[in-house]
Amino acid sequence: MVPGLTEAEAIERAKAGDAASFEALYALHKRRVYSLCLRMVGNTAEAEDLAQEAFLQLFRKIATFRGESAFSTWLHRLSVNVVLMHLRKKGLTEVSLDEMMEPQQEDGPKKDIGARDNVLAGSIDRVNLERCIESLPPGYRIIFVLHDIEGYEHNEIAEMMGCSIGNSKSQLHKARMKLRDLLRLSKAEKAAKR
Amino acid sequence: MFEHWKRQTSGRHRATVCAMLLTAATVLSVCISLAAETRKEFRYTVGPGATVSIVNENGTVIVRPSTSRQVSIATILQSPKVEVDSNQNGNRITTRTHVLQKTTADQTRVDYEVSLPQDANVSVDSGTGQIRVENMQGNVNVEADDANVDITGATISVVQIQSVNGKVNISNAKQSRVLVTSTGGNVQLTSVSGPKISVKTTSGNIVFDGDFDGGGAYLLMSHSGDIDVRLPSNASVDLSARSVKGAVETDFPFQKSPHPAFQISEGRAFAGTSNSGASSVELRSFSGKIRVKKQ
Amino acid sequence: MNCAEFHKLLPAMFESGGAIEDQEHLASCPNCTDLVNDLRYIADQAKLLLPMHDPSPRVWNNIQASLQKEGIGRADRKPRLERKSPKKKEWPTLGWAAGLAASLLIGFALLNYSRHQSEPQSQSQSEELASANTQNSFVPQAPDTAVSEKSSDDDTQLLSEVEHRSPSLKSVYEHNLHNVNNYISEAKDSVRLDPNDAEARQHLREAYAQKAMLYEMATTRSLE
Repeated sequence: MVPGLTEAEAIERAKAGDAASFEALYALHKRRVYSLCLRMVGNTAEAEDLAQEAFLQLFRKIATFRGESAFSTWLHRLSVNVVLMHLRKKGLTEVSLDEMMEPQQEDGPKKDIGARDNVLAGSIDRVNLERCIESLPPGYRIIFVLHDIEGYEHNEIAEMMGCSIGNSKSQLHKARMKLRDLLRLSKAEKAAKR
Repeated sequence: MFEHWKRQTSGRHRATVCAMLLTAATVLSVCISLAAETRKEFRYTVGPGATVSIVNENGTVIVRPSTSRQVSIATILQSPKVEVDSNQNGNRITTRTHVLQKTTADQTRVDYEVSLPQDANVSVDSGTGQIRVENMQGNVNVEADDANVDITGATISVVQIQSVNGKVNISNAKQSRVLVTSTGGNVQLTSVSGPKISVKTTSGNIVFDGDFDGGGAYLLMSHSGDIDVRLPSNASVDLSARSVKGAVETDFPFQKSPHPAFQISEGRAFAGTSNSGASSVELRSFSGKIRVKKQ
Repeated sequence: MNCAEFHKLLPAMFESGGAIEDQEHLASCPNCTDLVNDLRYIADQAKLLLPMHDPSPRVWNNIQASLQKEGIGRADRKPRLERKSPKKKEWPTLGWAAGLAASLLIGFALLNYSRHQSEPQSQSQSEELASANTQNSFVPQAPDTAVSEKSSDDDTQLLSEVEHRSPSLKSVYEHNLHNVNNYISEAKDSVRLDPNDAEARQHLREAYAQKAMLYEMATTRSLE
């Protein structure tokens, strides 16, 4: 932050085109925006491009920020939209909708019946969880990141993704199931190495 | 003779059969469409100054004031390929159409009929169709791609409209701030007055029919669209008109005056005052015609 | 209830926020109990994930370069922004989103224009300008050509976005973008003819505002 400036003051100055305030706002929010992009796309180069695009849109639009929501919420939403637009262009959100319409064998109950000693509780570390989230299919990953990590409600996700609330709920469940499989597999692999 | 009579009779018979088949087909198609149609209604209670937002892709949105604190949103969905979500967050209600899969325009159609307290703010965002907002006193915000917009009877409110291509009609709006930006659609204002009235278009024509009452600032501006103003002889305006490339015509008995920003040029620019010149009226076009006529 | 039936109902149980552990089936099924515990555990752990990664410094460098290119950021265009304009006071009070986007674009346009006027010109630019003046034509000069190419790319991208959302609206936007681009081009010519014509500048601002509005409506509506 520019010395002596609050975030609100930096926003007001940025609205007037003050370059130093842009930088201050970037410094304040870059980690959250980039982490969000990275988790949603699972690729650092793409995530950097998207974070860059999100901040550029922010600075182009900042004068339309009227303070009806918190600035960080507004920026976050804008960033999510940038990522979704990017994924939509790549056709990944369509894939995700197809995934949810056609239940896959691997998501069925059979897969969930496994050895009892492979329960996850207490075994997940952050790095492992991040890695498994990264391995999720894009459609699952997006919903999981938005709901379970970023805390969006299903109605908000449905609005952003252009799908129904029911679809969002169903896909989240499948994402968690898939993630459980990945985590259990990772745990089993670790155990085998020992 | 007999053959002729037979041909006539058989012709009539064929016509009757055709008519019956046509009727049956019509009845059948109406039945099918009614069967696919779904109705969904949402009801909420809100406090003063609530905001109701409707986001729709295709269809009619009609907004009217109610006599209670209740908001009622009645929707008719034309097919199962669309759905409507609605939620209330305090004094804010958002209702949105979701197109679940790509389909024909007819099947994405959702018609809304909304009644809400007169002081509520309403925001309608629509792709195509028709938007009509009647007699509201809160702020009215409309964004439309190719939908016709009709706002009538707004008072003491801010009416903001952004439209790409549909027609915009605003009538009987008093003491309101009216801000319209339309790229291609024509804009018609009838009996609209207030402290700030601004209409800007690229290729759309602008028609203003009214007395520019209230001592406000009025700006009508276009690129290639024509601007037609019809005002009564008792209008109290300080009016200037200029078209960079188009013609400027008037038969209104103005008292001509100089203008600080441009030179008066016969047929291209003029400035004048009528009565006490209470309201400021600026008419600007790039290549469209500007006509100022007496009512 | 068997496992398959329980699995079918599980998403709804999670979303309703009720106590799944009370389900009778779990008392007799350790596998499903594990599943419920695991899913809860995953959701709980996910909530604890913090933003941990910082972007590389090149992200800010790129942002800064783009902002400068677009003329956003007061440091390098302050004198232009402070140029007196008859309608300037309207923009903040109107609060139109498009107004802002437009004003940013206008700053860029005016900046470009002013550069032609005030900066020492390279030989080729001088020649182009001399040639344009001789022919009394107002063909955009080199920087404008770059801008219009960028603009054309952006337009194409925008139209593809509109087509994705609603194929029938593509032609509507295409037609209106074409008209707005004409408006911008004619208004620019007019400003070049007479840089002191405040009305021509007002048209140029408005032309950019119209374009900004089209962009905003096409993109924001499809996303938010």
